[in-house]
Amino acid sequence: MHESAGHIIFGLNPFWVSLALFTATYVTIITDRLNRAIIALIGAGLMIMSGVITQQAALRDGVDFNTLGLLTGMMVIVAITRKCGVFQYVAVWSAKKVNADPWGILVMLTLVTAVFSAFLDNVTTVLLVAPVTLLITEELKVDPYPYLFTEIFASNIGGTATLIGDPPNIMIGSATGLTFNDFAWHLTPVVTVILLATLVPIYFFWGRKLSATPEARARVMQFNEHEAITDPRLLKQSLSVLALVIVGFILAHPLHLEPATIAMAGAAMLLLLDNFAHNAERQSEQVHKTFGEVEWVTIFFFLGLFIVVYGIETAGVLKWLANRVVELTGGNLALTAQAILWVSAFASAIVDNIPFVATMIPLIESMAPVYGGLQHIEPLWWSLALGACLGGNGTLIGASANLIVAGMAERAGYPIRFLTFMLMAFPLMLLSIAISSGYVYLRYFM
Amino acid sequence: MTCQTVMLPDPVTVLESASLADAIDLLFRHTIKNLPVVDATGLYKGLFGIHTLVRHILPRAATLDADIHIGDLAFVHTTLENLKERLTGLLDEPVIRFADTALQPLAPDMGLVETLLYLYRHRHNLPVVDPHTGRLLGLVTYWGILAKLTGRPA
Repeated sequence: MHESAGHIIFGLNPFWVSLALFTATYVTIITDRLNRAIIALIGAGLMIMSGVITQQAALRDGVDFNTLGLLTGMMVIVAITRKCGVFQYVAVWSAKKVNADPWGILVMLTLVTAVFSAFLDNVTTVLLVAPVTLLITEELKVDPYPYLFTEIFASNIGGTATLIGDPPNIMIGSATGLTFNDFAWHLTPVVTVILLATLVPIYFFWGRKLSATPEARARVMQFNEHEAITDPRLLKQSLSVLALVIVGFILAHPLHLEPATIAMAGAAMLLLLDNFAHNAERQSEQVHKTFGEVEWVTIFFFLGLFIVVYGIETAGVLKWLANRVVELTGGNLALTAQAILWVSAFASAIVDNIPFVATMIPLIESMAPVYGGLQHIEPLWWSLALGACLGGNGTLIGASANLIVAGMAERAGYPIRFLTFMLMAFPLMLLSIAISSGYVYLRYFM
Repeated sequence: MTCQTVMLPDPVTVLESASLADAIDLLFRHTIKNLPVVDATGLYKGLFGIHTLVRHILPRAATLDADIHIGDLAFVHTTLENLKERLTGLLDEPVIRFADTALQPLAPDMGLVETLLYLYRHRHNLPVVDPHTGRLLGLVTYWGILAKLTGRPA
């Protein structure tokens, strides 16, 4: 039930007040002039103080604590896991598996990035894989650009494959009740095809020209991946907890557990394993450090954003918008699915996909009655997930992982320019959306 | 008392256009760790030293910043010959490329305790530069301070 405060500021129409606040929040986020968490929190505060919604309703119905809990839990697990060096191990192991062949390494690191991204957040994945990539390419004396470019793509594509791979999927899953298994069943196959299809033009554009001397490859083959593991005990503990968490996600439905519970339980377990052997002072230091690595800026950004979107939902803006969309598509579900896919992709290429998806979720829910209820609009969710996640590959600003890699590359002396990136990335993104478009049509409407 | 009390007023310097090979030669000849880099008119450009040199011999990914998790590089096995080869490839480059140009030099009126704190935090010698003209005035060094404190020659 949507609850307004009953006293809108100056007696104004809540529809226009909420729309104005929402638009101002969105536009300010896009300008990147201020940190997005600050903007979202101010927008949320104004939405409540203006009387569009009450604080109680905002926290009870607006904030998706399942999404926040899942994000926080996974961040804690990753913060502890990466201390043991497992990510560096996998990256070096995979490079040696192909005898340090430059193209082989590109493919392997792409797969490694995609798989990691499917289970961990994309930013953490690239923060861990990209430095090892720079190390290996420097040793091979090859241009790191093709590797970093492909890893950017792989992080966004891989993140699309599962419930926990990308925040839009987490939000969609949380709002709709779609499970880890649902995402795996509906998205992993097409994501696999997209990843492989993306490698084809990359091979023709870069891959076949990559070469390294036998001496350089020999130096990479001398890397000892086992020595990348700094804490074997922590490695076993982390992998065990991660495995349990994944099993938990798979069995979430029969166990009647929400993803946030599973993720936070895993985080708590790993915190216990990582700390119980230490004295109180060391425990305090470690726990502080671990929690310090949680991206609180992202969490509070989500918190504020949820409240802002709840405001326009309560005021009826999204219902109004949903009716316009249904009019435009003539109530045709297949056409609506395609529209959502393509619009989400283009929007995600230029703006942050999180606020976009946060807005789209209640909007799509509002359309459900036209199509016979929530149980009939499942294709729309897959279209939203595919568009919102894959669209981030379109430009350098399309996803946070893109900017992280670009920043790292710049500092290492290999700048990734916006236009240069986009000239190659945008067509590749369109390819992925075209494949998704065909998939959505063939799977749900044929 | 200011940092001018403990600085070496006439440190060995290197021209920004000099090669890395020449700069390394100066380090060995004068048994010093740091060389202020100046232009032809004596304006301070940056600080070169063993620390910045080691940074350029290491893989770039290892020295980006604290947020980058490359680990401790225990898995990288390389030989002295490989490192020598890496250094040889850089010897003809101008030394300014290897200088720390972001290092904030000390102002001549900086207090003694503040100077010592800077020295402690940066872990290498620090240039003293005139903030108005940009000219190098001297170098604050660990040995110079120790010499002043113990009454020994610097």
